[in-house]
Amino acid sequence: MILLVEDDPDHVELALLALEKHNLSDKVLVARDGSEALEYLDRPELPKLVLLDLKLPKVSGLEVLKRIRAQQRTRFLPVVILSSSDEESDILRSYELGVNSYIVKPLELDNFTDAARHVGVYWLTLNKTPMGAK
Amino acid sequence: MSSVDRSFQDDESPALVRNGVLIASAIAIIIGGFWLLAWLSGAAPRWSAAGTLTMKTNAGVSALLAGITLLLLRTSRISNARRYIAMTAAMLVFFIGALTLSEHLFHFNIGIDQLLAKEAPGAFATASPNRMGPPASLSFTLLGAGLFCLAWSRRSIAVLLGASVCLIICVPALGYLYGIAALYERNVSAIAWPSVVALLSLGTGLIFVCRDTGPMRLALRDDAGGDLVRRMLPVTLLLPILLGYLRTVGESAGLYGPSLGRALLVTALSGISTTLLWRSGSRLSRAATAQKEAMKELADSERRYSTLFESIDEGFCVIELLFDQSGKPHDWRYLEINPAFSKHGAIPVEVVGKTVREAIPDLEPRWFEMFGKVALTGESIRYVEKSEAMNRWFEGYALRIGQPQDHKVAILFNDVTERKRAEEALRESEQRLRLAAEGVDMGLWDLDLATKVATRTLRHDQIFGYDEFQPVWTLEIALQHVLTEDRPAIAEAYAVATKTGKLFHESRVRWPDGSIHWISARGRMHYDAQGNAVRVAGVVFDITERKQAETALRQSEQRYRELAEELELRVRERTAQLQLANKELEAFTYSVSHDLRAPLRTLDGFSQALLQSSDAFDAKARHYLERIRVATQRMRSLTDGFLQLSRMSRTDLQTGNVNLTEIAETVVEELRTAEPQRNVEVHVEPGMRAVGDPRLLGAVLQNLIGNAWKFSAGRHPAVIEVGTMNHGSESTFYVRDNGAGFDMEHAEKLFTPFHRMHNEAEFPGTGIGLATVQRVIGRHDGRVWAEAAPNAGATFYFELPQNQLKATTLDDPGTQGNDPAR
Repeated sequence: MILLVEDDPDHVELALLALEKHNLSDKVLVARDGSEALEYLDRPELPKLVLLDLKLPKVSGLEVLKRIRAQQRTRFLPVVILSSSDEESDILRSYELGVNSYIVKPLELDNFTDAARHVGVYWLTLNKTPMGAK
Repeated sequence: MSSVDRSFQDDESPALVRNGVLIASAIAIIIGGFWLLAWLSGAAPRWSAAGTLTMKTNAGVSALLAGITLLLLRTSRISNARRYIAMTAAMLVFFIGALTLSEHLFHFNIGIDQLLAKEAPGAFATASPNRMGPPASLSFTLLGAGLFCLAWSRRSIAVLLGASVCLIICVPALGYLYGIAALYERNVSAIAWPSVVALLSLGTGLIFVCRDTGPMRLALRDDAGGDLVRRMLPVTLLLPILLGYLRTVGESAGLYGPSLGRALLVTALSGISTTLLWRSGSRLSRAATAQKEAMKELADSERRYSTLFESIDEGFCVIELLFDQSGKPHDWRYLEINPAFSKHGAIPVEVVGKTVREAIPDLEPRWFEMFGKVALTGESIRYVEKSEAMNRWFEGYALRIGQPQDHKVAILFNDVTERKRAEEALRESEQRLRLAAEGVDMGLWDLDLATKVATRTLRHDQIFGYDEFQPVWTLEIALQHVLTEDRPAIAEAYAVATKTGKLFHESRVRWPDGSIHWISARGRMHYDAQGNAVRVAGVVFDITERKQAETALRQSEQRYRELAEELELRVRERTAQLQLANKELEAFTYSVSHDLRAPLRTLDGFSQALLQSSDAFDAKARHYLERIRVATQRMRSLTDGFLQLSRMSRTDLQTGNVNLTEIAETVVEELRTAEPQRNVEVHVEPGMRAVGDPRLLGAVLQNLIGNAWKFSAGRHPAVIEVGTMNHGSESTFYVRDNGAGFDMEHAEKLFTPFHRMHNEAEFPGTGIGLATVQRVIGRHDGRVWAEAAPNAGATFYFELPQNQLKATTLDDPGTQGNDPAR
């Protein structure tokens, strides 16, 4: 199960379109802002991966990341930033807060589809996380 | 002139002489007048009838006239009228005497005897009634002639005639004195005693009145001879008469007989005469001795004078002034000169006996006037004069010597030409100094430290506010003009001057009109032989204008500084505002670019999804979708450019050593990978290094090489060169291609963002690249420019300072102003 935190509905749709191609779309939860994302993470069942945008209403992506890493329960949860910003400062800040990966949203749909596939395959199948994280 | 001299002598005549003439005249007038009145009144005829020997009428008239004449001729200074009256009276006397005498001689009666008064015939000792006797008539004849001669200025004859009268009358006089009747009672010798007295007085008076001739001349002389005459004359004249009278009296009284009487007379006469002679002789001897001593003294004095005359350094001469007909001095003759004369006079010694006109023909007339005045007035003069004819200055003393009529002047003089020239030179030099001082508005002063009195120029007093030269100036007066608060500084300046010898002070003075002025004084001490300061002399300026200018300058400097500070502050405020605005703008640019990405992605994503998802679109619709996608991608690269440009400005410089060669090769490698089909020759100079931010300089090379790659697309082969040129302290790097180039006419907009030299279809691009390059180079304090020609390739140069380690930021105004993002 993937938690996609994205406020732009167009982008949500495009992301789902890309994930659909790799049969990953049915396992996607979408949060429209930071506080909604945090609510999802309070649920008993945790997602296997969080795809987090930085620019979010209410609670920002970096704040969400910070909280994830601050809680015992979610501190090893794989978080991938999926942002349209390629600013060095954003990248640096994200890694400081313990992000697992930082991906600049490709403009080309094909590229985005590729990226989605790689992320899904890698984080959901290949990657192993500590058992306690589940 | 002579009349003046005689009157002078009149005054000098002894009183006895002056009064003697007066007394003689008076006696004659009284006796004559008395007897005339006696005859006219009838008293005399009665005395005659009684047997008395009477003075006759004509004798009385003659005595009266002669007395008056003598009175009239008493002094030499007489008017002509007086002279003619005297002459007439004298002639009358002469004629009365002469006519009476001829009556006696020729025994006839011309009738003059009884003219005024009658006498009875048979009067005692009278030849004819009322006729005066022969001695009287002869005496009056001579006396009349004598008086006429006196009036006629024939004095010698007058004296002779006077003496004759005295001698003639001596006979009856002795007769009366010694009682010898025969001497006055006989018909031939008859004469009354009043006539004797009158004639004796008149004869003596006539001798006395002629002082300058005959016996009186000698008697009045102020020498041994005159003295002798004066002393002996009364003795020789009166002594025998007196002794004779005494003998007669003694004999008459029966004291002694005639023989003893004669012996007594002779003894007394010789005894008294010898005694008197002895006394006179010893007197004369003493006088002669005194005179000899005086002569010796004179000789000594002359010798002394002569020695002085010969040896003195001054020139000396005695001259005789020469006058022309009109009495004006026109020349002089040298009588004596001393040896120094030639030295000072610049005239040869042979000048003695010659006139000055012979020696110096064109001598100025004023010299004659000057010495002529001395000769005429007797007033000595001192002179300092220049003779133009001799071109010399003389200083001298001139005095009249000898008798006034000699016109002699003695002159003692020095040639002072050298001294005068020195004085003149000094005066000229002082004048020049003074003029120079006036020329620069400088007052001069010289203060005597003992008296505290200063001499100075007019300008000095003007600097203290006076139009006119002040009568006296002292240090105290100067200090009174100085403002009270500036006085201690002057005292201090004088204290310093006593140590260093130099005086300097600047102070304020109050002019008499109340205005305040700045003065500057400089001076130097002068010392005497003992090293004591005696004078301080120097200059003084009015420096009011300079001081005012200084004050004005200080004020304007102050104002300028305030303005500059104000300006600085304003610039800083403005800069801060501008920086804030810049930051806001940068943030805005970033934010806009960033936010534009999201919709772009949506646009592109869905248009692509459309193309992939369905076959429902025909070719035309697909073409439109493709156009949308191209436009979307172009917009994306524009926003990327924006972000890149703003990033170049926003990020801090991380300065270090940069290997440009390596970066260039990497860039070229990426380009070859992206477009392997392009045939491009690339030459990168090895070892290119610079100091700067590696990431930003990488962006520079990426843009420049990327451009070269892009614009050389049509060339086979395309050639790209990356290298350096050295320009002193800065390294110049260049990127050259043989591509499309551009027209240099548009080069000034080359680095303006979004400005493009080629159209999009030919060479696609955003117009951001070169703007980015310029911004980066600007942040490194470097310079970038280009050279190109259409279709002949382009070369881009950039220059970086060698030791550029400066960390610049967004705030740095080094970035160029042609950036629309700012």
